[in-house]
Amino acid sequence: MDFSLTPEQEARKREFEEFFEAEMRNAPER
Amino acid sequence: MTKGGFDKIFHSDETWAFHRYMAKKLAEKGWLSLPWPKEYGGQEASLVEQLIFNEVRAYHRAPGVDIWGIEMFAPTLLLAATEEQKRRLLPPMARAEVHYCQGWSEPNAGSDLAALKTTAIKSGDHYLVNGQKTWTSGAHRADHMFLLARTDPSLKRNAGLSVFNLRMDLPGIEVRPIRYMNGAHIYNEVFFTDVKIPECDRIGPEGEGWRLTRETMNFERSNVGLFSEALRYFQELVQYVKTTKRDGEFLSRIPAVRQRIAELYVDIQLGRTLAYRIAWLQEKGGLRFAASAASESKVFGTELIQRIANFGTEIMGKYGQVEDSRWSPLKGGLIDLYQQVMGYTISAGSNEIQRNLIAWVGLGLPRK
Repeated sequence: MDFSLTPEQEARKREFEEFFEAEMRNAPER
Repeated sequence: MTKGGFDKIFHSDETWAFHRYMAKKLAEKGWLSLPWPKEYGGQEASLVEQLIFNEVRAYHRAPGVDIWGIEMFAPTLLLAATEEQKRRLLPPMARAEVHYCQGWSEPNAGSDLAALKTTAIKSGDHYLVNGQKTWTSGAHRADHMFLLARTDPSLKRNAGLSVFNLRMDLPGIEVRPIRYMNGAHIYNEVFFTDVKIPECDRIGPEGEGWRLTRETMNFERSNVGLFSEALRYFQELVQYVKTTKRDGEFLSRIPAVRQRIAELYVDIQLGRTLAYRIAWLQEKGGLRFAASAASESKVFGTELIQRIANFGTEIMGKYGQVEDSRWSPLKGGLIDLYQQVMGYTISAGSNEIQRNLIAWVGLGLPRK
C-alpha cells in the first residue's frame, strides 16, 4: 500500500487548501 | 474555533445561507461531483482525489456539501438507478440546486433500522406512503428525501423494503421540528399521510431496499473528514497547552499533559492511515471490499474525537466553556465539540452495530 500523493495530487490539494482558506474567512461565527 | 462547521449548517438562517453560498461555489468548480461520470455532471476524478478534497474541506470546517444527497444518495443512484433517473436526479445535485434529507430512522427503528414500519404500497402508477420518520436532520430545509419504506408489509425485517426519491413538496408531508434545549432546529419528525410517489421515483428493484441501503451506509462510513476534523481540534489544543500557564508553569511542561497529547497524536496518524487504506481498498476492489474497514474507521474515528473533546475539556476546565474572554482563546469551541461528538458514536450506525459488522463481515464470526 502506497499512500503517498503524486505531484498532480499534491497540486490539487494546494488548490483545495487555497480555496477553503480564502472562502472560510467569510464564514459566520456560529 | 467554531467558525463555519460543516455539521452546523442548520443552526441558524445565517449558517444555512453560508452553506448554500459555498455549495454554489463548489458546484461552479465541479467539486461536488468529483468522481461521478461526466454525463451526469461529474469530473471522473479518482477516489483519492475525492479523499483529498474531503480531508481538506473537513480541516477547514467548510460547509457546502449536502452529505445526504451528494455523499450518501448520489453513490446509490450511480449504483442502482436507471439511466433516466441518473440523468434527471444527479445533475441538479452537482449544480447544488437541491438539498436532500435522509428518510431512514423511525420512532422504533433507529439502530434497528430493519424494524421500520412506514409503508409505500403500490397503487397503479404510483406508491402511497403512510407512516413517520424521526431525527430527520434538515428535513425543514430539504427539497428531496431518500426514503426507505416497506413496499410489502407481509414480509418482515429487511425483506420487502424499497428505496425512493421523494419530493418534499408533495401533498401529505408534514415536517415538525425537534428542537435542542438551546432552541436550535436541526432535527425533525416527518409524517406521511397518503403521499403519492410516482413509480419512476423508486430506485432499484422493488424489495431490494435493504441491499441498496447497506451500500449507502458503506459510502457514508468511509469518511476521512473525521480524522481531519480531529487533527484541527488537536492542533488548537496543542497551541493552547503551549501558550497557557497553570500555577506559573506552561501546560506543555506537565508530564501528564504531554503524555496525553502524544497518545492522541499517534491515534490521529493511525486513523488517517485507516482512512487512506479504505480509499486504497475501494480503488482496488470497490465498496464491498472495504465494508469492514469502513466500520473500523468509523469506530476508531468517532471514539478518537470524543477522547480529544474529553481531554480538551479536562485541561481547559471552566475556561473551556467561556465564549468571549481573553482567558478563553478557543472561544467555547471545546465544550461545543464535547456536546456535539457525544452523538457521533450513535449516529450513522451506532458503534455497537459497527463492531458487530467488523466481527461478522470482517472476521467471519457468527452473526449472532
